[in-house]
Amino acid sequence: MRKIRVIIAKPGLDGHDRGAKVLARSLMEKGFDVIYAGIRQTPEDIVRAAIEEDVDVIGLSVLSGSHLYQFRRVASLMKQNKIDDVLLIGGGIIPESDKPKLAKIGVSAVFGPGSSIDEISNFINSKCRRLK
Amino acid sequence: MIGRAVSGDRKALARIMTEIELGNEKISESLIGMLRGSSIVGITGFPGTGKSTIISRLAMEMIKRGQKVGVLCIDPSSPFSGGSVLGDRVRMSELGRQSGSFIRSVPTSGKNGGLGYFTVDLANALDVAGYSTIFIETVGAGQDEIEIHNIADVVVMVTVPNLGDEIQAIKAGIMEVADIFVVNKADIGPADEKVMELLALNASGNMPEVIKTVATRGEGISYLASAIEGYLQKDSRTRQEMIKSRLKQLVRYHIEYRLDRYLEGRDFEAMVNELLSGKGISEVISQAASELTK
Repeated sequence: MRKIRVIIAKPGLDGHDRGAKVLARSLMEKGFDVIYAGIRQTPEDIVRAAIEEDVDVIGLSVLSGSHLYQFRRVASLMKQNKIDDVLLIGGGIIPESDKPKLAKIGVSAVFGPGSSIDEISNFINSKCRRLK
Repeated sequence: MIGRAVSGDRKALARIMTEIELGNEKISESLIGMLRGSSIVGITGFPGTGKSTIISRLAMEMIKRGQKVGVLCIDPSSPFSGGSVLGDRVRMSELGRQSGSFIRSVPTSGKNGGLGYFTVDLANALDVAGYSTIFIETVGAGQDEIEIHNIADVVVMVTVPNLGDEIQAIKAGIMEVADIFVVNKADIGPADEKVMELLALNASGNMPEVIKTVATRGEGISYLASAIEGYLQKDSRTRQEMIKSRLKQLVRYHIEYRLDRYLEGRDFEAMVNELLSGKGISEVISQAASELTK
């Protein structure tokens, strides 16, 4: 009866959280337990919350342009804490040219504007490594 | 894994909680013998009254006073998808950075009453891991979500000015289980009138304390922390008695969990058809009951 747990957070300083909130609500409707951590979270905040909540997926929304720094830092903190079974995904305004760099950092997928909820929830369901 | 959680490993504690939620009874059982008897503070009240913000401030105050603080934030699961938006943590960023805190969000998973099926087990995990004060935030409660009363050592009921009148205040249910009332957002309306309404409940002589707060600014929080400590100090039960009353609920919730899972799988249509064909209610139900105990 435990559902796949997803934490949705916005690292950095931009406050544009409409997308993150819509996603939180939509994933709830798809049957996920969604922990909404909100805006202005540091990578340290996010990784600690992910540990305490024992999530399966970390979803970060960045619209400020600081995505490379934020994801790199989150990924390195995940490594430090030996979190190797949690899916890291992203969304927001992320240039096409940065996507390969994010993939290298360990971001499994980036869902920009226009992504469908089905696409995101199917991706999580198929890639989630735990609870299988 | 429990040993690692006791020595402060957050990841181990988090995994223990996951195991509990997956129904690993072995883990729940091992914790029972190791309980230290932390204080459980229940925070309840209607949605949007400021429960999470109050906990965030209150827990920081308790940490300042030398406690280690665990928090369980209960939010409802969808009756349609089974999923949930667990959004209490969003008010607790500052608390989440303290070395003496541990915050866990918990879906109700279909349980009624304002808590989750494994709330006591999860509180036990925090207790064993050394969290000396455990806050349990109920779902945004209605008039009837009173189960927190059965597991908390002190229940704080949060309300706000301009919400209902003295008739709402004298009704049975949630207004009866409070040990301390908080009138939060005291800056947005006639807070003193709300305090008077609550004080007017004083018929039996056991009037709970009523405290005004503005949680977003931290006003009244230190006073509230002292009121909670004072209430806990007056509790004449022994640690063992407190633990026992908590475990009574653990047993009840495990039964409830199994019963609800059983009900989920029932063919109610068949029972309705039996009813329509003239069978008595007891007869229809007794068949189901005998299946449950098989």
